[in-house]
Amino acid sequence: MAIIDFFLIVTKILVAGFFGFLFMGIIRKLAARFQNRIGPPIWQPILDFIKLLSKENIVSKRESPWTNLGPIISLAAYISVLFLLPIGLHFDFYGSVIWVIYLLFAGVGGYIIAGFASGNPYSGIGGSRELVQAFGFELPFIISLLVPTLKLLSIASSWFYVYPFAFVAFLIAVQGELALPPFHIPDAEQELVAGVFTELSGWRLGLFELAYAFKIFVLSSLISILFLGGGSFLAVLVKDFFVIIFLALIRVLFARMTIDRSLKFFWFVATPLALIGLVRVLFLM
Amino acid sequence: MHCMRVPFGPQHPALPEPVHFTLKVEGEEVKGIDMSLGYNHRGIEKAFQQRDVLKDIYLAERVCGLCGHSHSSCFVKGVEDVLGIKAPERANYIRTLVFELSRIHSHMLFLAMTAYELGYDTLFQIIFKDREYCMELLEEITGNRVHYVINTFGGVRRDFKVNPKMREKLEILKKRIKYHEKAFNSEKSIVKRTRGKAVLTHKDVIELGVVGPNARASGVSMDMRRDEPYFSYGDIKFKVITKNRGDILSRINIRLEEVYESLKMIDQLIEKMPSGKIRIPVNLGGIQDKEVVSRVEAPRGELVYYIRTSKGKTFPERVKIRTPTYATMTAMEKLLTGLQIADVPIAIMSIDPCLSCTDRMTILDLKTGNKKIVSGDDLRHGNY
Repeated sequence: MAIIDFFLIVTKILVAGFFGFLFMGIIRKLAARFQNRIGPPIWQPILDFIKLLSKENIVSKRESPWTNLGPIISLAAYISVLFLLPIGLHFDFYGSVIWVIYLLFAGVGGYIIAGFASGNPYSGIGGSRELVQAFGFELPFIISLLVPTLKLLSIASSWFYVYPFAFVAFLIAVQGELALPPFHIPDAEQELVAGVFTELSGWRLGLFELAYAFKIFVLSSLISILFLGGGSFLAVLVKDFFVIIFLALIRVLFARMTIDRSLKFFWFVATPLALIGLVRVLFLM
Repeated sequence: MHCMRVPFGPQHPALPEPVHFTLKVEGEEVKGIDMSLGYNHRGIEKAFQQRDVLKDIYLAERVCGLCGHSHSSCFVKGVEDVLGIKAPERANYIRTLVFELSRIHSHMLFLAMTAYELGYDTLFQIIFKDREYCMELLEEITGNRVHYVINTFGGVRRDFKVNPKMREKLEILKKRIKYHEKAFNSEKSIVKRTRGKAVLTHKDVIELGVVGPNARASGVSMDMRRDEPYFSYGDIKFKVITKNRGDILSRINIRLEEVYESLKMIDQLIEKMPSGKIRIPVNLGGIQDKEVVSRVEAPRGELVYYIRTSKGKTFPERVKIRTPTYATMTAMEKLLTGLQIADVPIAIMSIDPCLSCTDRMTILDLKTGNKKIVSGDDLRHGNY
């Protein structure tokens, strides 16, 4: 029994990682096609990851050893969330939504630690922007995540037409959490080179890429399960694909916001939407 | 509050030019800047003296990758003044035509880079796609895409033939520019980030000696094409566009409208183009002891060449170039102080920086204040 469990766990991690990378590739390819470019092949992020693992890890003199903790925390957090999603092997218990919220923020925490510890001014500003951005998107994210899961406080499938306001707020928050345009503020290359990742190379950058792959898989699956009806593992993957197309479309349509504007947008546009959804569920349904 | 020093450049993904800024930052606000230039000294002016004037045309063309035609035009105009000759009408029309086309492609590069600095990759890609029409036109007329080298003493190297496809492309460009004008002025995320930011007032422009579109964006009406008409600019009608606000958005809009104006000028040039010779023979032996200052309106503003020749020598004695961006660098502190870090790249980009062409440096001993001249050998061996 234990061996079968172990096998299932490893399979789920591998499948999620693979599809996460594939989704990253699809977003890049779609964005390229929308912009009249050819774009990289969709498996490019996987090749990048393999290449990064074989590269030398350069450690700068000004860096504190806490930097190493960043990618590990992020990766661990996002893999943990994976096992709270009701697809494949998972844990199902009262209050698992609280864990999802907690772990997703821990994932962002990994970026912040790496940013502040790596001793580069660009990384420092990137880390602080990562933190400010998290203050922005966490509010609509948490409220709209609670809307469809309020009764059992565990992740269960439902449809977006039941909770339209929460759905829109959740999409905005996910775009912010994934730091996709117009919210690519923490790693805005024109301002901060690569933000948190400026000083990182080798396995540490690779692990961050892997963490991002899990993040994109987890968040798109959350949308598919909570608002697009969920279903089996395969059904969720297909629905994820449509979510990814939508995210890529938003990605090409907008210019980058500044950090203060994005904060205002999250608080005064997305949060009221989520609150309307919450009020509807609490008092009208 | 603790003041953080953020280095910016000379190697930075958002900065196309080798210039270093140290931003003194409190939180996200820039409190002051230090600037250092001189990372890309190329010794261009010395190279001018070591070649004869004929080869200098090719050197002038390669001073800059974007406004190469402006440089060679300015040099050729200066040497023609020295020789006391005038190029035929038709040659001047062709020169003007290429000049305006190169202004369009330079301005479109600026617009695309601005969109990129704003994090708007889609608009960046679309403008680059449209810029291709302009590049194709230039290739058709001059035979080259980047360095046209169409100027020569006493005329141009290639004749110009109009074909219907050219007019078609010009019409498409006109439509696209109107579209981009709408995109820049109606897209909220662009307008909010550029309106009222990095303002240069009318007074600042005059005090700091800013030139070209950046000056016109602050309401200073200066344009070499109108003030001192060269080539065929005296024959055609155009208006010098000025804006009053002097912020980033008006610097963008001025370029958008200038592109449209240039397209209208090109229509007039093609229509009015006289027939006749494109080149007259020139005797370079007629060079006298003479000093000339030649000025043209390059895409980034007034470009100045000072040329001194001595009798009977085809090698110029001295050539001094003043590029427009170098005149604008003095305004950088005014421009950047008080901005958010997020707005620094777009503020720098908004003056359309292009200074690696003639970067210069002075070696100054800070303790004594003495300037020093370093020989080429010393530079090569690092003894300075």
